[in-house]
Amino acid sequence: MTGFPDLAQRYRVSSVPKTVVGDTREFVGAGPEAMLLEHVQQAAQGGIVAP
Amino acid sequence: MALLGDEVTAQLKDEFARLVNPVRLAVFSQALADPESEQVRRLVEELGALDPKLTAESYNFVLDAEKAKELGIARIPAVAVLGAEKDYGVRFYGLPAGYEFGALVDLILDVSSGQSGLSEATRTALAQVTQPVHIQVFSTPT
Repeated sequence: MTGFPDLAQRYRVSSVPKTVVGDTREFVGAGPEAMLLEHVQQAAQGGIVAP
Repeated sequence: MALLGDEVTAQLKDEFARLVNPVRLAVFSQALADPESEQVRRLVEELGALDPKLTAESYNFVLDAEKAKELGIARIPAVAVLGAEKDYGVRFYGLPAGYEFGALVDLILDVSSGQSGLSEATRTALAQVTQPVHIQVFSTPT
């Protein structure tokens, strides 16, 4: 990642594609749709899990 | 000189023939601070000229700070891909180079159709989500 080094560092992006949901939830690669949905639902509920 | 060659232009015109609803491309750049962003502005303006359903709007990140704020743009280069009637919240940051150029074209087609490609079950579940959720996908233009 060279485009936005600040973001790459903040979200510890070392391999791509990396998806960050609601700032603290993340996964690398193409996850199943159900997993993305679960991340979105949990992020919306504000159930913050420390990274 | 055009950034898009004749062959790519012809391919894109074919792709954009599938556009359903109009799409606005709001591009934010700043030539002095970020020469790269100027390339993106030129590219988006060329895209905007390829189909009557596509419109490019160019903004200066500093001079048009109000517009940047309105669209939630905090860094450049940035392209907000906006539906004619609805802003789905899709923003593309960085250089749309290599595979990522295809990703930008796909975004335009998706916003135009209004179809996410998600399953019925997922869409039903998402309809219950009332809080805004920020989703960021990081990639490299390889």
